[in-house]
Amino acid sequence: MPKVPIIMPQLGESIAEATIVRFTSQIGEPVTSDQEIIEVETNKAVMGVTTPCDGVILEFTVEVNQTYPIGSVLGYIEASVEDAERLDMTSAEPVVQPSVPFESQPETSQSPARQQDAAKSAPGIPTIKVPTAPVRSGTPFVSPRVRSRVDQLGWLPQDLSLIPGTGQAGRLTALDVEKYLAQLEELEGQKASGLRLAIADAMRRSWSRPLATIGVAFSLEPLLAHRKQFKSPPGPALYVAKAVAIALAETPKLAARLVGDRLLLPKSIDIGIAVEVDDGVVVPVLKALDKEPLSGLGERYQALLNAARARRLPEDAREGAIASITNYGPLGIAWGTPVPQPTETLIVGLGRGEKRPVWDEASSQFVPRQVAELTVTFDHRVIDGGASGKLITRLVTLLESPDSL
Amino acid sequence: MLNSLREPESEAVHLGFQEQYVSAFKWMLLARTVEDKIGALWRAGKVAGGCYLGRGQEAISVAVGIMLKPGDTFGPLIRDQAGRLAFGEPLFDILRTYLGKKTGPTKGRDGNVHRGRPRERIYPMISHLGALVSVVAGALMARRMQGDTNFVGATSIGDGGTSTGSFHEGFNMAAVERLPLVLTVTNNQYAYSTPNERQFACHDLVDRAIGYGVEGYSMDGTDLKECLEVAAHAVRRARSGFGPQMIVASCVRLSGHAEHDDGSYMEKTLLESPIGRDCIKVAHSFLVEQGWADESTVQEWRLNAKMDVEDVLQRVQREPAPVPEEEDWNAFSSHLIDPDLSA
Amino acid sequence: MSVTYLEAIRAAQAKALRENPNVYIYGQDVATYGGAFKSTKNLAKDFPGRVLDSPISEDAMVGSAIGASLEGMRPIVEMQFADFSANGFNQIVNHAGGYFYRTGVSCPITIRMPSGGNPGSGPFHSQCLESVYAHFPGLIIMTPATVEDAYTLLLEAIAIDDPVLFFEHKFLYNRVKAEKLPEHFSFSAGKARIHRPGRDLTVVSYGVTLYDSLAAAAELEKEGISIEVVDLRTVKPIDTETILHSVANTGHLLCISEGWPWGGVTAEVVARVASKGFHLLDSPPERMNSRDTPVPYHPDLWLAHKPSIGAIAKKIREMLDW
Repeated sequence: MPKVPIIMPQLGESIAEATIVRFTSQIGEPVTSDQEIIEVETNKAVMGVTTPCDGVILEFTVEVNQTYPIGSVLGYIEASVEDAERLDMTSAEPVVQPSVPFESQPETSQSPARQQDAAKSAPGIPTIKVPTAPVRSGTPFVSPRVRSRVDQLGWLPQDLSLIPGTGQAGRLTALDVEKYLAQLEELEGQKASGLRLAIADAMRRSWSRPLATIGVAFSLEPLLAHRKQFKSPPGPALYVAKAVAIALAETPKLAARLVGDRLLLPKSIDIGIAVEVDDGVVVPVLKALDKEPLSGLGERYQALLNAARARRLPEDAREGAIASITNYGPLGIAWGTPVPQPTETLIVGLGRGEKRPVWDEASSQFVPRQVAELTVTFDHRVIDGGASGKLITRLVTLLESPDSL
Repeated sequence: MLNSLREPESEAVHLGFQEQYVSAFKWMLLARTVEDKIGALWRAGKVAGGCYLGRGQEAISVAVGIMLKPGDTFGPLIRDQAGRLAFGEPLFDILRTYLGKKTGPTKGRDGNVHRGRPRERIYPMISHLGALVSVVAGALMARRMQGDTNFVGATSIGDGGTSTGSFHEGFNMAAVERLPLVLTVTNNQYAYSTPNERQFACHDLVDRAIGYGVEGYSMDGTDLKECLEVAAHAVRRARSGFGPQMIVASCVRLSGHAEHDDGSYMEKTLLESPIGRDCIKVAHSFLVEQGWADESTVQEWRLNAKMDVEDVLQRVQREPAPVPEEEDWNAFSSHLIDPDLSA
Repeated sequence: MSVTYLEAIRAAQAKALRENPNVYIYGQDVATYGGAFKSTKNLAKDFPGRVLDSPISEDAMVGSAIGASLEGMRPIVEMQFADFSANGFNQIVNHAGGYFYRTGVSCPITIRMPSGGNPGSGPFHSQCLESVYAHFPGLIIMTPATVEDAYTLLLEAIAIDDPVLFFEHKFLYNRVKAEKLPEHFSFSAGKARIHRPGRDLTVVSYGVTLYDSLAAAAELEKEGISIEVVDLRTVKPIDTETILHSVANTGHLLCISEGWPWGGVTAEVVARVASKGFHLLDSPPERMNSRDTPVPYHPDLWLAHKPSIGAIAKKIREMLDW
């Protein structure tokens, strides 16, 4: 015979519990449906708990004068199979009584997710695929909190790419940033100089364009021979600068800047020359270099060089170059891919001079020649491969016949 | 009196009645004059919003207002200008409120008939009809709890307002508490444009007095003499502990619901009926008949009312309007609440 | 010796009646019967003539309180159920709420609103209407969750010169208990409280869902997740400062209420944080409410209608995984 529980009923609005006053029926006693068998007291009234069905009282599981929450099992009745089924006692569970706020509730069958599914399939409502961040670490999405933290740190958003993200689809969380910062705390370091930060900023901005580099070796010998005629001869970088000035004056569109949908031509052929100083590089600018003969350049350049090293460049020599020259030969570098400044479309690099065996058709043998590598790094949006080849060829021609400079 | 549940004691024209009658008549003239002026200002575009006048209802309004003493409570409704003046509301209040002046009782925050002086027990109405009944009743309950005696409260409603739940709740509660409340139902035949037959099904609204268990009177609201007699009786009964009093005064609204409404839907024959009379004309004739005033005296009173209105208007028009930048945008009075948190 | 939330409400009213002769209680069945929930039990006997049964007239109950307050009284109106205040809505929002702004005269009434769901209470005895009333100007909206707040905020409500709607939660009446009532307290209406400090996510709640939030926080603590739980206490004025302060610490906001989802307190909190604290957020601010249907009768439906502890914990995990 099935056991049917006797339940402490909901005895009124807001009633949480009730106290057992007395049992009005005894164990073993046959009872009929709706018969009052237990008297309980709430803070409102004394009431009778009734039986759910006919049967015999099997047991009471509670004690007089003790208080029990609503929904508690107070005892059991032995009932017929039909009654037990009718009362859905196969699960032996009373109507759910909430135990919140003190105990956790299991998830109910109708979860919010299921409700959302229903909404999705509703007629007439198109399903929109919500864009999600791509699955990779350090994705570009930055939460407002991370962004403001980055501002506070004086970082740039791209600095965050260095940090692996652990959020959804690799999103960088605020916690990720804090953990990374904590790691950095363990390293030694110092604040970067203003010059370093300015260079970093210029390089970063310039790097926003597709830059390509081409290079070719040329003979230094005519240039070196040409220098000997001067008392204070111009350095090789000045020869290259002058050659670039001439080439760009011939074809100014090679130095055009692409801004939005406009190609902007230079007003004046102003060429910069990179100079290494303490903790960085400065680029003094030689204005209208195409119009000035090479002969007078040596002294003018030396003055600028001194000013640059003293960080005392005059205003008009500080910026505005349309292209610049970097001579990394003295640093022992043969070849490089220097980065033009953000305002420049190209930069020309000069490598160290070295003796190389060069095939001499006339004598049918290798002969030693003083050569250097010349590179042009350019904004590939503005200059195509063919134009860059013509430019570098023209530069070599000019440098190998220095009298034309 | 047409249909009173309990006949008031016979009101002989007692000593002092003439004085009271004349005084009431002067308030009626002043009310009509200032409302005509407000109507003119409205038509001249000087009044923002609606313009609700009490033409034709001055007699019943003044009768209640004049019976109240300082310390009593009055909750007037929209067509109670005469009663307001008789109870003590300064002429300034109507003009300042209609013109939205910063100096007015609502400082331009509310307009037209929504004005009052709660501290002086003139309660400002809200537009939701019937809402004032329980407020006045609550004030009377409070007075009783505080041990006050010898006070009454009066409030008004129209035929339409009696259909609201709020009216029923408030008046029933006042009856349950046996409060000294005089409720005047001015049946002016139309609630906005809706006639009596679409508003209620009883023979006379005073029939409801039986249902509420209160004393009720039904009378001609165009006859100042009858109005004064019934109001005096009802106020005295209320003051003496006989519980709420319900006065149903019949008359005809002598204009539209508001100045934007020409009232063209109103039955023209109503104006030919006894309750279609202009209460001011009725009172005027009565004064002359009784020999209490001659034509020239009445004319002088009219002129005085005009001068009073003009004088106050001239001053009020020069008063400042509210300035948005100076407005205290705070609906809380409590100093206990940090205003920074109230936004 | 312990005190329930319900007893605290009764004690606050007794104290107010004792200390201020202008206080009286007006409501249905509040006198001899002691109120439908016994929150005025014995008060009619102890304070004769000051605890009065009203007719079933919510409109007139509030209207009369307005009138009485103008005469210097401090009425406490008991709505038998907050749901029935719909019948007194006009007096509350249009008359009481606007009184001070319109007239310059304050209207110090307290309306007690037994609110919120209980199993089996169904659509008309379960509503949470604080958001509805908070929308109107001039009304102070209190939503105490603790026994101490039920006591002190009710005393403050009576002391405040503005209309106060006191949303006491019926589910908490006999379920939350305190050792004793506070004897000394300073005025704190309008201030939220960090009920449980935490590090990882801020849950803002009030009323019964405060306890659901705390239970979820306890569950998550086992997973090493530290939740800060803010109890609004007063939803209007709302303590934006404390909320922002908490979100500044955690970077994540979840606001939970038993009220309906459209607009309301949770929307207000999210809007304020999104507007004033956008820079503090590391994930989209979220909110949880009951479902947008009438409150269902069957206890199983009822439980599924409002945010459950499990659902809260799940939501928090999702937010922190964002």
